[in-house]
Amino acid sequence: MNVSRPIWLAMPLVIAAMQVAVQQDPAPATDPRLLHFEAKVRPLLVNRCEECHAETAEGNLRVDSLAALLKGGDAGPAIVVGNPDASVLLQAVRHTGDIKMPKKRTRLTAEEVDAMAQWIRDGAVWPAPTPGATNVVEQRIAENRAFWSFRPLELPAVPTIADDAWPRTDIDRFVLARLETEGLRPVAKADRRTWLRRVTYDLTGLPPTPAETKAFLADTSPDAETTVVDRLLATPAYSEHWARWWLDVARYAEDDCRSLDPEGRGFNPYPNAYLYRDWVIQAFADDLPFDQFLSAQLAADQLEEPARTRHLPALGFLGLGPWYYDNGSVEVTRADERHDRVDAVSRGMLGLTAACARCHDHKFDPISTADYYSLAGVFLNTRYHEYPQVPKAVAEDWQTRHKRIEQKSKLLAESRRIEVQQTAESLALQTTLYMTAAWQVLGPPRRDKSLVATQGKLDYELFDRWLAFLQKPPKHYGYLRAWQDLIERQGTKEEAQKIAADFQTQLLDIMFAMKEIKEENEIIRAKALPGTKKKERAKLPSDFVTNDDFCPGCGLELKSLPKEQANLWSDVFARDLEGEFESENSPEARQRPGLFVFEGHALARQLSAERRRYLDDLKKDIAAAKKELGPKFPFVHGVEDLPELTPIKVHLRGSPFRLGDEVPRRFPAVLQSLPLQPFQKGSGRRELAERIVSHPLTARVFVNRVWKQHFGTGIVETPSDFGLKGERPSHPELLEHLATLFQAHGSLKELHRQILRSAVYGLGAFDNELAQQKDPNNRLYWRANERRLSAEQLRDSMLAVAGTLDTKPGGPSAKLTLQNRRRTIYGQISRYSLDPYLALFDFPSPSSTSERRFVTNVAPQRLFLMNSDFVQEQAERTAERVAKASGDATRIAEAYNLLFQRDPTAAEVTAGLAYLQQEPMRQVDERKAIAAKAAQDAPPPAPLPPPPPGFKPANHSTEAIVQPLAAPTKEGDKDAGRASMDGDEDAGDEKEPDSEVPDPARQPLPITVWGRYVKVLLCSNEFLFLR
Amino acid sequence: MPNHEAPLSARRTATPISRRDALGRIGSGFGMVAFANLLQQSLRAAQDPQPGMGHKDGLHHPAKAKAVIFLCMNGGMSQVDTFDPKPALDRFHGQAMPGGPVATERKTGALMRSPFRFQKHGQCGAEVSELWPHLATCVDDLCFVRSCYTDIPNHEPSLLMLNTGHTQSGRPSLGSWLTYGLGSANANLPGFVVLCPEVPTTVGPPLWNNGFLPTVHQGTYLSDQVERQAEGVLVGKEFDPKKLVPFLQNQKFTASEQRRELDLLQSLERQRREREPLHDPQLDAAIASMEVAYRMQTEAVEVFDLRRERPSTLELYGRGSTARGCLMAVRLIERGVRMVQVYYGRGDPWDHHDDILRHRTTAGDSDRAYAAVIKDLKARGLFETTLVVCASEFGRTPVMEIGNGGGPALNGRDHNPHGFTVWLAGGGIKGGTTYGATDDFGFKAIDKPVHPHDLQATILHLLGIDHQRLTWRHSGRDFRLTDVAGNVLHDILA
Repeated sequence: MNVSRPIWLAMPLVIAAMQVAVQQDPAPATDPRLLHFEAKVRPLLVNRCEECHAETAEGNLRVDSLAALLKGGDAGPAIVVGNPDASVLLQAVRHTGDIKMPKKRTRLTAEEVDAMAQWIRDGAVWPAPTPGATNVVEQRIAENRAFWSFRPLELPAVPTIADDAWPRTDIDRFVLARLETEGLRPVAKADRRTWLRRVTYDLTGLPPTPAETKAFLADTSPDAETTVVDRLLATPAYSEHWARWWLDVARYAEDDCRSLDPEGRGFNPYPNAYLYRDWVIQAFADDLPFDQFLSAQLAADQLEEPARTRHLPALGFLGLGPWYYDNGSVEVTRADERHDRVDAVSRGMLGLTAACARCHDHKFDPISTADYYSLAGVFLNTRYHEYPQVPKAVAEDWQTRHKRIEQKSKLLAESRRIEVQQTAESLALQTTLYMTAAWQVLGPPRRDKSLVATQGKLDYELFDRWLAFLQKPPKHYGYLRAWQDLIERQGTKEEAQKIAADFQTQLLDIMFAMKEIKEENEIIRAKALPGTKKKERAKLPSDFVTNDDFCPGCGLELKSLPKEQANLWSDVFARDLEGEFESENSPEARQRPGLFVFEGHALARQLSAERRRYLDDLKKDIAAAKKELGPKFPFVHGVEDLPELTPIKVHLRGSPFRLGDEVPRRFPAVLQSLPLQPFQKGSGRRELAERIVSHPLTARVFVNRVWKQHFGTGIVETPSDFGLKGERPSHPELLEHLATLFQAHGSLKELHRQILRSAVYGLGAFDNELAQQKDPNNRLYWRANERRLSAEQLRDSMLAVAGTLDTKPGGPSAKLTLQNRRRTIYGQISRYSLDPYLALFDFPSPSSTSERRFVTNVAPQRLFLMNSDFVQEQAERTAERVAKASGDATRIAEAYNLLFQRDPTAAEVTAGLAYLQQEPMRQVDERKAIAAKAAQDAPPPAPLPPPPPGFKPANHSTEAIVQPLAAPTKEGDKDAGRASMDGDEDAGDEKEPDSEVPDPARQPLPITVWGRYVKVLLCSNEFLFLR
Repeated sequence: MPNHEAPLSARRTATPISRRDALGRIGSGFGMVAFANLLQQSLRAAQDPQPGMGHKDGLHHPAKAKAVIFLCMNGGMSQVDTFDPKPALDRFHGQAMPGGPVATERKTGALMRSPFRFQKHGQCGAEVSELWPHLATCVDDLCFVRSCYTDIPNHEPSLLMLNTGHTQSGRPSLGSWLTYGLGSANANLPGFVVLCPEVPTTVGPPLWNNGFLPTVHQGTYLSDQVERQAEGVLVGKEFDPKKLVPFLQNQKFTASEQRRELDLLQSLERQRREREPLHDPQLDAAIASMEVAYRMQTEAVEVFDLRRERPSTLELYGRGSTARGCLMAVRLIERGVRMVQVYYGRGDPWDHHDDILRHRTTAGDSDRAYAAVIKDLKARGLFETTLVVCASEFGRTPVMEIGNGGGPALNGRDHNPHGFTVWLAGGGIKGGTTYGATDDFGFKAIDKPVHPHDLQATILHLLGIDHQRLTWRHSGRDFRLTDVAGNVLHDILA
């Protein structure tokens, strides 16, 4: 057994203190009338009445205290103690009086009405109000410290049962006791193959191999199952599979939606998010004690070394939560971020919907807005921080060199800008010359433009631009009118020269005026700075406090030229205004340079050889330095405490603009005894973590999540809500049993072992009429549930049976392309655009902590199975694996063993053979046809964008377009909604330069009848569902 | 016996069909509407022991419309240059806004008249600018809501508000709520479709996300970029309807080969079923959805094949991606899709800070197509049952935008969240009407202001849904599209 070793030095003391404190809490009520009230009546009042009769007090009636019920509302006192029939409340729920309740909802059942009547008859006992409680929520808090999920853990007695032969463990006794009270019996146990398949998928997300199956079936020792479980728990596949289970809770993702992304992608990637994912995997592999596992995710930065360094990546739980950047007003987005943290921590770890108390006291649970803001205060004092994962010297060296490159790049840009500007200014001084020459072409002489250019030694390109410029419609300014009139009336050369000279003067005036304005604006900008340094644009997600951080100086009121002058200036010295009207959907057309603006090659032509060399050298230098520098060192996307603490005030009605009382940072009141203890150190994250891991609620929630993962349904089917509105446990003693043991040993692997060796886990998926009638949803575990494979299990096991699964562990994520054969947990998870394969198979939204996965069986999933190249490819690979056997019947048997771990029946073999033999020549024909088709359909050269530098599969033409989406834009990553599993491998981060040669082993195989046959087996329920 | 079974037994009676079972049956193809009702009742019941919808069709009240076409002019259409004429702007052109400028995104200057001429149209005499000559012929079918306002003068939060009722990403969008509430009437097509040649707006997918609703309610984004080279025609040679839905077809397989695969699968499933007596409805659903998928391969392709339209219909819509999107939308609605959204383009193409004259391009691309939606829906007998909504995330200022750090100050207008115009038409909408008003300059909605939550409440209402009762329990509370707000605009209902 793995005993929890506290990771912080201070912890043993804290835990001891907590235990004493917890024991001081009021013991659970023992008065049966109170028990009846808590079990039957209060849930009714809360769930069925309080929506209208608590805070909003419709009909002036509240039902959230005895006093309120006795006082009553518009219809008089709601209850008459001892006399249900005379109580308005009873008349209302019985529908015997004028008032019929609940309004617009289903009526209470007879059982429920009776419970209420009995309570009134027995004297309407209500737990005594707590001294000091001044309002309803405080009262509720006081009353609910003994609520089932908040109570201290206590190991329950194992029940006695009638059938002592069935149980294998205590778990079974609890389950059977419950079944027996319903007059039910568990069905027969599953056969050994089914059990092995179930447990292997359950622990590793993969099917057992034929060899593993054989070994298990051959092992007749009583420990055979234990051996299997121990073997599986020791595999890397186990930790990869179970890590994903936690990542759902942790809303793990590798980017954030970011509307004003400077790079125009619409999201901000977290390149090192994988460090958190890998930490979770490692934690499961190491069986990190549960208290350390949770607390590291909240406060690893505050651990002592060496634990601190080891566990820093765990901070991704907070650091990788959604940051909202500039998506809205700063006050609101910051509040939304804190909300996410409160929600993820309270629902994910505590099973409490504390986030409900953001705007008002919780409607149902004993959580006040003060509780909410006391948690939000922890996150107010926590900010995003990046922790380098390399030695300090390495990180500093990288940063120094990176800064040097940035400085050089800045220098290059500045030099270029100056060249562009100086060129433009020098060209402005030649205005008279060019305009006079233009008269030769546009005016009465009507001479050929190249002739004029050659004779006048003019720059061809510039002269061309002048000619176009002079003929522009006078849309934005009137400066060209005089000239255009002249051309219209066929004016003389002298007139042209005069106008040209005037225009040159005007241009220079505007040019100088603009220079002055720019100087003035620089002063305005400088004056707005708090110090003497220029403000850099903020980069880190929590650095945005004002809009000025996002766009420094953008809010300043700067000077500008009058409109017509500004337009002319732009047209000549900046960009061609006319270009902007050509097309809304072609950004390149919008950026046509102004008359005198020469860039790139055009600029190079205007420069001296020396300047050109200087710019070229600088550019090469930067490129070389960038190459040498290499990618940035890995760093953890984590959090740290603010250096100076800020107290938080309650946001009235949830508005960050309307602040109420200041509240201390502390643990929710209902989860601790009085007096409430505020957190003392820093943001309080570490104390929060200590409180969370030592509270019994946490163990209950965690154990229930594990149970649900093994059985499909939880003991509490609202795994993230253990509050008053949440479901009550179907097997409360069982949950207490598991949670109490778990709190003591802290080992997830031990918990798996306890569960997996039970008889209830080994039940078959058989029917039983009586049980089906009484418990159609199998909440009492009288049989095994049939469960569709998750997105990850499905993809991974197809790769596994095909023998193509790449088991390389950890590292950066890559897109789930056809060529990506790693486990699905290593695929990219985007909040901005979730991978379409994952979305298709019910992957939960990574924007908030996930309580459960929905399961659908929709047609688009079947289209994927039928038509995707991915499935076909895995089927072909599987077919290749079994091809070595001689004879189709043997091959069929091998395929069945690979996929289903069993031999086919005679009828199945017959059906398979019939299918395979129906078209004996198909294979040959098909290959020919495909080759011919590929030749015929050879696509025209891809217009946009250029094909990725990486490798292309042979029949690329039919693959990349499964979902024709926005072609990656120049930024390269605008691939929202792309059906990536059939797309090409991206030139991803992972790709090493030398891996550009296609790997022949990864070339898709041609389609065969055998591949088709295996695909049918992969589409079958026996493969897709686990029982 | 301990006294904790109440929830369990209550659940047993209240939910004959578990949510899991219900979801498992989505693909079973026994009529999506019937199924949607089953689904929503069970979904709701699973969360809340009260029955969901009272009306016999499984709705809260009789529906006026069955489907929605949402035309999105992303970037921000200027109301004072299109549907909300303000003669005062001509009189006070060049003068400062009385009472000082209203805060918007950027610096703004003096009042600026519209460069476009307005004219009265139709029986109702609604004034529409020269930007919309074709749409102007339909004004008797349109209801202009001139008093819209929103919260934040930035594209992203306002687009999110318009689509999801919240300014941060992560909430389910209108279309997701609709398919959650109503399902799709065609099991062979996605219920909620988003059309645009490139991922529209700078927000992108969060606008059609299912949020916390089951993934099946996510909007399906379809691009028809495959034929972007084919300029100047509605349907180019390279147009391939098969390529629009992921995995809809694979050219490597023929239909008859797939039929054989499917027959083999069915026979193997039958054998297993006979062998093993447990009948989990999920398994039947899985088998049935395979058949649906098989049919989808041909039926869905047919819908997307615009080449099947008559030349006169193609002519009606005009050219370009918006025209194509609009025609596709009508065809999808015709086949039972619940909501189709047509975006104008990538980024914020209506966002004309520099020069409002650029509205000519965007309106020019949309005018014929939007009018065609109205006319074509009528021709197909769908106008009465289809709600058409045309909106931007916000409007534009009646004052000109200035500043820009000494750059060119042209002729443009800034974002304006304080007042803008949205029009609606079709199922349940009183045509030829105008609702609400902005101030004399068209800056602020002053008469009967309408928030996106009100529009959303109205849209849901027209589809037979009470926006306060279409909820999803998430994070401990019942979430709605309209958050804690929203009023149905009863005055604009027919």
